Order: sequence, then structure tokens, then C-alpha cells
Amino acid sequence: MKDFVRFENLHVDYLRKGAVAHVLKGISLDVTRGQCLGVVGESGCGKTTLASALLGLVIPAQGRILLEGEELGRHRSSAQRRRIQMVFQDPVASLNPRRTVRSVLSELMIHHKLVGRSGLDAALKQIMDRVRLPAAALDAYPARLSGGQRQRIAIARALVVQPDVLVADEAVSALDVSVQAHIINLLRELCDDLGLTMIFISHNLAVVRVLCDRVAVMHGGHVVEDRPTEAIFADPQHDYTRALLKASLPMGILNLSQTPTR
Amino acid sequence: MMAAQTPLLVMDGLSLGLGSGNRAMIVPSLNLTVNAGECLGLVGESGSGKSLSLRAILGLLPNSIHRSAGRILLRGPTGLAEHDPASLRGNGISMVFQEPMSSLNPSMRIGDLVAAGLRAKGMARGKARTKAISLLREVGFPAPEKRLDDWPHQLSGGLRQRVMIAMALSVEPALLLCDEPTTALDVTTQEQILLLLERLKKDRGLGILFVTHDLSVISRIADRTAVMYAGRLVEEGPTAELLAAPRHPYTLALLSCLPQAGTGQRRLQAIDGTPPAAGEHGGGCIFAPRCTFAAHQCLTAEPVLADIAPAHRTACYRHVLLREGLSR
Amino acid sequence: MMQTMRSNLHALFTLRERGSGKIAVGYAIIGLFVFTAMAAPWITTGEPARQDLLNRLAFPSFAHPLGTDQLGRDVWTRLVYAIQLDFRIGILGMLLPAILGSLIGVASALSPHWLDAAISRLADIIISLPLFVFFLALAGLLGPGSDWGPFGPGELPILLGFTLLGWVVYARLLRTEMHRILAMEYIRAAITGGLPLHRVIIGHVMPNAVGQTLVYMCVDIGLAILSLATLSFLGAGVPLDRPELGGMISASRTVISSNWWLVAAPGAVLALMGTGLALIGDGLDDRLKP
Repeated sequence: MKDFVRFENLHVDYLRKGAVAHVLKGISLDVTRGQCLGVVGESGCGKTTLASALLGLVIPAQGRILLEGEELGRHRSSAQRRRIQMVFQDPVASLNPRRTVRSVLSELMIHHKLVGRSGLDAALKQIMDRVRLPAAALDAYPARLSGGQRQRIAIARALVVQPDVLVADEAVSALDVSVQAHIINLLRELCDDLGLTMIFISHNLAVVRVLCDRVAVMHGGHVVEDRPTEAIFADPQHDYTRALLKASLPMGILNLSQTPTR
Repeated sequence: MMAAQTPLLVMDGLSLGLGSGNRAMIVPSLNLTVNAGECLGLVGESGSGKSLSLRAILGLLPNSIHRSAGRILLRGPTGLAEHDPASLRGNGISMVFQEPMSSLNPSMRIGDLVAAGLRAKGMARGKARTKAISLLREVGFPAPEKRLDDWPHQLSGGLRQRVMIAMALSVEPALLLCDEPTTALDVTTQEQILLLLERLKKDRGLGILFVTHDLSVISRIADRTAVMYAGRLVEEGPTAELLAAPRHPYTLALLSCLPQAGTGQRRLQAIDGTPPAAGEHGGGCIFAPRCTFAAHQCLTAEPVLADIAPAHRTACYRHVLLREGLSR
Repeated sequence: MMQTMRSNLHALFTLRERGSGKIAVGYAIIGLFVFTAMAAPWITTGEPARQDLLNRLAFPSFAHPLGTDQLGRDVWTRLVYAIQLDFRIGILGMLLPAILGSLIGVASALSPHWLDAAISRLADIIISLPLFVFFLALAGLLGPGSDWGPFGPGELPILLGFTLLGWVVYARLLRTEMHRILAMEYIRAAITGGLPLHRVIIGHVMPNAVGQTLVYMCVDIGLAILSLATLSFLGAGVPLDRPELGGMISASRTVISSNWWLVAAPGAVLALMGTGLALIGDGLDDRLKP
């Protein structure tokens, strides 16, 4: 079960205005099955590139990525792609405006032969239950849905192909706090119930602290610290981690002893 | 601090609606005051009407939104008065936007951007340039004299936001309107911009109206905080008091949604349901359908903002329950 | 795919949405012309070429609603047949470059950098060609009077010219739209969902990329008609004995002081056609905007 997802000395370069920019400079990371790894860092640190490399959207210059010991190469099969899914940041741009929810979800299920034509409706209803949306939303176009509902649809789209790994790239950053809480709870629930392995990319340390078992701090294309969540927050080792923790705004002022219980 | 306050901005019953006539009201009636040397934080979720209310001050409402009633008073040489919004821009009042890239003219060098406001007031070119350098230095732009000829796209997000603040300051405003100025920035940059705004507030005695959805930013910068829900002000009070002991269930619910440090919690509190759409509200308290404290009374008559402590107002019949909850 | 194409087409054929006013007026204008052109045999003499040399430059009368021209031909009949001809050339002159250009644009957006760059340079060269010189050369090369297959005399060189020059706009339009859509997160989501490339392109990229092309196609019919009229006016279009709006204006311009309606009638028809098509395009643009 060890090392379900493994990054080995991963380098990624981009060509920017004729010059080569080294975005990832030798990333090595292991994620065990069922673990939720938080990746934090500021914009430009390479965290989104790391996700893109895992999903096969960019080609590494050097190093490799393994899923359950199998190398994910340059050209991935449809079946390989199915195992790793992503939830994107922008709930507007991540849904095709001209497709209904039903058409997007059933296209994926039918393509991967996860369900026959006869079982389609039941499967669609099940996935909508899973992400807590009414079945009526199946026939809606994204423009009709709120930000939180769209993000639930984006999660449903990722889940519908029954992946092993879920990558969430700033998946709650664009949402209002009250909606954010719902989505975080949903992601947590999915990890616990389905045994999904999750890589949760965020600049929001408070959210990462609630959701993740382990945190990798990225800075300038390197992982500068990679330890269990509470250890990182209680006793940061790297200077950059300390700076990041210091800058993330204090929440101690908030007194929650009076939270009503339902 | 409570004594001798000079109000810079007074919103008196501001009403914003969709289209003309008395159709769906987005903001039914808003009363707000911003004093000199004070930062008022206006918090709410998307669709709460907080940004529209801010834009209404400068007359920057989109075409689909109509201002149907109410007055916006601003301090001028002759005291508080209503002004033509167009005459205010670049004159005693400035605005800082969320997205520094799309709000800076990409075809102007940063020196010219900052000097533009000064030149428009008739300042000589050389003098305006010198002033631009000193403004950029004031907002913490490193080595401004060397970088006056840089283009906006060459700057990082944080530096762009500093340029925007320098532009805002160039017209010597008494009041600064901020529309989520830190939302698009990284945490460390965000911290720097908040420190800068705080310093400007102290040094220049600026009044700041700071609109955001982020309570943690509010806790850092605002002296007073006003919470908006579905176009209505539901609670207003000193920030520390409001966040530590909220007296409106919506404020409490918003705070509970935030991940708490060090509690080891695995589930976050969340508010069930969704805010009502504009014009969808039947009667009673606007938050009642989602409120855990709601009683029969809440469904029949809409509560009005009432003082419950010095400078602390809430629009809730059941606010005493929240206080008792605190002492429990 | 079917469903999304339908929603694009749906925008073209419904009148209860944004931009409906413009589209309705555009349809009314164009519908009137289409009806007139189709009813030609019943509402005219049916013989646009018949000359009545004893009755030249006649004033409007019951027999000749718009009078006659210098050769005594009934101007009303010629006008109706000219609308027929101009519409046909307009639609073909839009459709052929649209098909060629769209194919090249899609291929360009999806091809490796060097090929994409080569296509862009070719487009630059074509855009910089002096259009009318090109047409005159082509007309000379193919012979103006030739009748070829389904095309009447003089039509082939014009359509060929339109296609060889006109594809550039469509190729650029579609290439730009493709690049915009390819960068959207929902495309990345479709790829990471494991869908094969052709499904992503046909099912997710194209339906979102063709909207602007549809808008331009409407406007382009009008542009093609205007170009045809201009060419005929300059003598490089269809032969002057065939009824064509630009040709009619050209032939009558010497008698404009006495028989001004001989110029005004085809001129007004041209202007109205262009307006109607532009209105449809504009309304469609309003409607397809997200």
C-alpha cells in the first residue's frame, strides 16, 4: 500500500518568451493510498504545474511519475487517465457552457463502459446523491447553477469515472465561505467513504489544516518541507514554512465556543 | 477614538433595484457611515449587494442596476452634501479594485499612470513625475525612480496593487474605497498590502471603506464591521466585539464556516440552504429560513437594526439567545 | 454534439430571446427578397433579356413598373432576376470560403507549431494581395463568358476568387476561437476524463468555437453580394447582359440625371440586403454571447 502515487525527481520546464523557465526543479513525493496530501505555496511556486504533470497535461523534462508502481508515460491510455481525476478552481470555466450536466456525465460513463444504457439513469441519480444535488439539476446548463452547485457538478464529473486519485487545484478558493465549508465537507466525506487518495492544492493554510493528513510546502519549484499536518503547523522546520504560517492571517480572534449544535 | 468623529461618508437609505421601477430590490435600504481615520469593513457573500453599494458611491453601477432611492452624503469643503458622482472621481475620493491587472491601463508606463491624476489637475510634467516617485515610495514600491518606465505587465500582483494605491493617493483623497483589494493576492503579499493600508489610514487620517468576503482580512484591518446578507445590513459593530461575540445568527454562522486552528475538527460547520434571490423574499426576517435560532416571530415581521451595546447594532429578535450562548 | 449543434442552430431560428428585434427585422427584409426572387416567373415578364428597342428609357407605367433601360428591357423584371443571381452568388460565395477556411483553421490550431506558422504566413500573403487585380487576372484567365457546369457565365471565376481569398478570415476566426476554447478548464477536464482527442474536439471544442463563425457567415453573404456588385460595376463580374445589381447600376449611370430610378432601385436593394443580413448577424451575436 505504500507509495500509491510517487513523484521521482520531477523536473518541468516551460518555454516563456524564448527563454526556458524551470518550474519544477526535482520534486520527489510519495502519497500512500487513501491519504490526503495538501500542497501549499504561493502562486508561481509550481504547485499547479505539479498537478498538471500528474494529470499528463504537461510533459516532464526529467524524472517520472508512478501510480501503484506503474509509470505514467508521455502518452496515456484512456484507462490510465481515468484513474486520476481533477477538480479545477474556477467553477465557471471548468464546465462546458453548451452541455447539460447529464450529457457530460453520461458521456464519460459510457466512454469508460462503466454502465450500460439501461443502468444509466440510476447511475446518474446515484452520483447526484453522492454530491448532494437534486436529480433535477441533471438537465440544467451550467449557467443556471450557483457557484457551489457548479463545483459539486465538477466533483461529480471527476467521481463518475471511479478514479483512485482526486486532484483538487484551489477547488474551494473561488467560493464563498459558507459554500466553501460545504465543499470541504464533501471532499472529506469522499476520501473517507470511497478511500480516495487526494492531492489538495491550496494557498489557504487553514483549509489545508482541516482537510489534509500531510502537507508539502512548495517554494521556487522545490518541496521545502513535507510532514504530517499537525507537525508542520506546530513546529515548522523550514524558514519559508515559518514565513508562510506567519503571513496567513490569525484566526485566534474568533471564538467558537458558542457554535450552536444541530 | 469614539470622540470627535468626522463622518466622511453617510449612506442614508440607499436603495438599489434591478431595472427601473420598483421591481426586484437588490439593496432595499442601506444606512452606513464612514468616519475619518477609520476603516469600515463591509462583509458579505457574493450577491449580498456589498460591491454594488460601494460602486453606487462613485456612480459606477452597471446598466441593469438602478438606484431608486436614498442619499449618499460625502464630506466636501462645505460639509456633508450630495455630489454628482462624476465630479467625485479623482476628487477627494478614490477606489482600489480587486484585479490590479485589468484595472491598470496596460499601454501606460507606471510613472505615467501615477502622474495622470496629477497632470489632469494641471500639475507640470516634471513636478508630477517627482510627486509620482514620492507616492510610489510612500506605498513601499522599491526603487521607484528606476522603475517609472516599467509597464504594468512587468510587475508582480503585489506591486501592481501598490501602483494602484499610489494612483488612488495621487488625488489626495480623504476617503478610500477598496473592493476586495487583497483577494487576488498571495497570503504574504496580502499581509503587506493590509499593513500598507493600515499605515496610510494612520498617517493620512484616511477613511477606508473595505469591501470583502474574507472575515480573516476583516479581522486584520477593520475598526468597525458591517455584515450584509441579501442586500440588508444584519449586524454592525466594533470588529473585535463583533467577531468575538456576534449578535446576529448569520454572522455567527459565517464565522463557524471558517476552519478553526488547532481544534482537530474534521467537519466544518456549514449553513444549509441558499440566500434568497432578489425580490424572492416574502416577509419576516430575511435569514429566518436558514437560521437555527428562528422562532415564530421571525417569520412574520422583519426585524430592524437596533442598538444592543454601544456602537453595536443587530437586526435580530433573538440576539439575547446568542449572548446567552456565549456565556454558557 | 448533436445537442450542442442544435443549440447553435436554435439560436438562429427562435424569436423569443436576446437580439430578437434585430433578427426579426433582418428576417423580414431578407424574407421579402427571397419571396420576390422565388416568385419571379409569376410577378415579372419572365424574360429579363427581352429588348424593346422602340420603347427605350420609358418612364414607369403599368406595363413596366420601373420603366425600361437603354435597350428597352423591363427594369422590374431585370431587378427581380438580379436579386436571384446576387443571392445565389452571395450564398455560394460565403459557403465555399467558409468550408475551406474552417477546415484550414481547425487544422492550423491543432497542428504543430511550424505548420501553424506556415499557414499564418500564407494567410498574411493572401490578405496583402490587391484583390481586384487578382480578380481581373482570374477573369481574364478563365474567360468571362464561359458557362461551366451548374454555374452561369462569369460565375466560376468569381466564386473561385472568393474562395481563394475569403478562406483567410474563416481560418483566422476559427483558429483564434479554437485556441481560446482549448485553454478552458472544461477542455482539460474532458482530456483528463480520458475522452479520446476526436471526441474532445468534436464534442467540446467545436460547439463552443463555431458561434462567431456563424455570426460572420451571415454578414459575409452581404459582403459577397457587395463584392459581386462592385466587380460587375467595374466590368470584372458577370457579363453585362446578365441581370446583376452592380451591373445594372453601372449600365445606367450615364442616364442618372433623366432616369435616376434605374440606379436608385438596384442601389436601394443592395443597401437593404446588406442591412438585413448584418441585422441577423448582429442579433445572433447578441444571442450567442454567454
